[in-house]
Amino acid sequence: MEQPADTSGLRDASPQVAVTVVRTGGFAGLKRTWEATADDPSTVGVWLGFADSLPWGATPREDPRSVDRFVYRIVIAVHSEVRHEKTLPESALTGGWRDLVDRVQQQADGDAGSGQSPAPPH
Amino acid sequence: MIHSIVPPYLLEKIAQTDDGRMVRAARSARRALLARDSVLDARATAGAEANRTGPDSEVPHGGSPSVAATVKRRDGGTLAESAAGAVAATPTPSRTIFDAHNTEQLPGTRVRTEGSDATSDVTVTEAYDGLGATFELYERAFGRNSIDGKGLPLLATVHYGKDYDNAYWDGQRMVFGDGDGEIFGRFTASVSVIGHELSHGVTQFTAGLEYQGQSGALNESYSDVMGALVEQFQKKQSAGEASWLIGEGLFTAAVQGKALRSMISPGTAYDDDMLGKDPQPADMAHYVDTTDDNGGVHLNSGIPNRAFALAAIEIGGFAWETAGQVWYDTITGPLASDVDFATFARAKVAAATARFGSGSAETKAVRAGWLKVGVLEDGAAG
Repeated sequence: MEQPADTSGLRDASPQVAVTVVRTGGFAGLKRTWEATADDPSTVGVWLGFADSLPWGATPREDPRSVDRFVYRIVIAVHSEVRHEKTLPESALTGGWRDLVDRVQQQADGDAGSGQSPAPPH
Repeated sequence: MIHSIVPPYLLEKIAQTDDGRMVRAARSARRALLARDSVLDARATAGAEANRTGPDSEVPHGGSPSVAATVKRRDGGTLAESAAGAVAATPTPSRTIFDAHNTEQLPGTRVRTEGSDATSDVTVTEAYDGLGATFELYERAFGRNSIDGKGLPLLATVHYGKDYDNAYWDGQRMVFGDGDGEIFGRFTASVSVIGHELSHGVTQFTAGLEYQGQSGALNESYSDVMGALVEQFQKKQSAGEASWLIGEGLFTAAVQGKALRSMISPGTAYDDDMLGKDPQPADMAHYVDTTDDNGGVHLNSGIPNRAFALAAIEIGGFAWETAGQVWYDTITGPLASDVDFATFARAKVAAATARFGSGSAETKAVRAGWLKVGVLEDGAAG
């Protein structure tokens, strides 16, 4: 059951929101992890609003003939409690999912300032 | 027109023999039959595509050398004599390389077709040559005409994505990224990668191993085996001389590692401050249970990889003639798509027995390899 984007009561703890992306597979089989966190109240609201708008309950599009592609596991945690979790094949990483992963990678790699809000979903 | 002094029904009979004294003849007969089939398919394909044109068509247009050119020999002749004494056409590849121009749009722009001159782009050249090297291993060592055994055109797209750290098989073509320049360089740099990806296509057209859990790890292992053999075949290396490394040269100089995987010593290919240590297990005692990576297909492939490399080294000589032939026989034989390691190991021992005999050094080495990695136990190795 999806929870609504309720950010009330989240302003006294830190970190309030953690978005973790774990990429496995690929030809190399390397596991890489990126994490973005947010503490600023307005940023927390944007992250969660964006995250809650994604189709977490939908079955991802299958790509049965592709091999050696990446697999992405995305976890949204609020106060260390998992709010959303999803595993997606690379072929399904489109639209809002791609925006979310790109943003987390950018923040984790330091290309964007920490605590910045995610790009709006397409 | 193809002439053969040996009638087709006799070639088929020889090809199907399990007489150990006729191994070479059977192999040659199968090659002759495959060559005959490829020509028949080529004729049908040529007829169907006679009017097909278009600059970005995924299949080479009728004006370029393609499957229809399989009657031509590599040295420009038209016919080749098989070792069985039959005269038949030698298949040749039909390669087309596309450039995605750092987008994720496939197939991209066609930049090189079969027989055309090399471009100034080294990535295109590596992809073209790697496809050719892989085709050559399959054709010369196993008598297989391309991925599907029927001369399927070989398609590849280079410069896929931006800083894309991967190469993959999408069911129709090979796709290569340029790497991010920090951890990985371009993925065409190692012919073992190209052999690996094309071999996923062979698996797709043969055993169809499900890409999950142990059958997925076997799918990966077969591709690693053939990727290594393409490199060994190209260098004319014996099993004892080979590096048994997969993806050597893909890491940048900043990474502490020699390759992505070591078949003979899984878990030792790299040990880097940022990437960590190569996580591949070398035996069943260290099998990795995980939901990541389709059930760890790129991790647990280390176990069958090591079983193969151990067998090949034990046998000695050129691995594609012995252990590699057994792997190929197994993948093209009766095999459940969701086969597990133990069932597969028994199938390989059976394949080795069928080709080389139960008491042969080859069969003993294949069995010993699976015993060493803990997949088979004494008394259960078939």
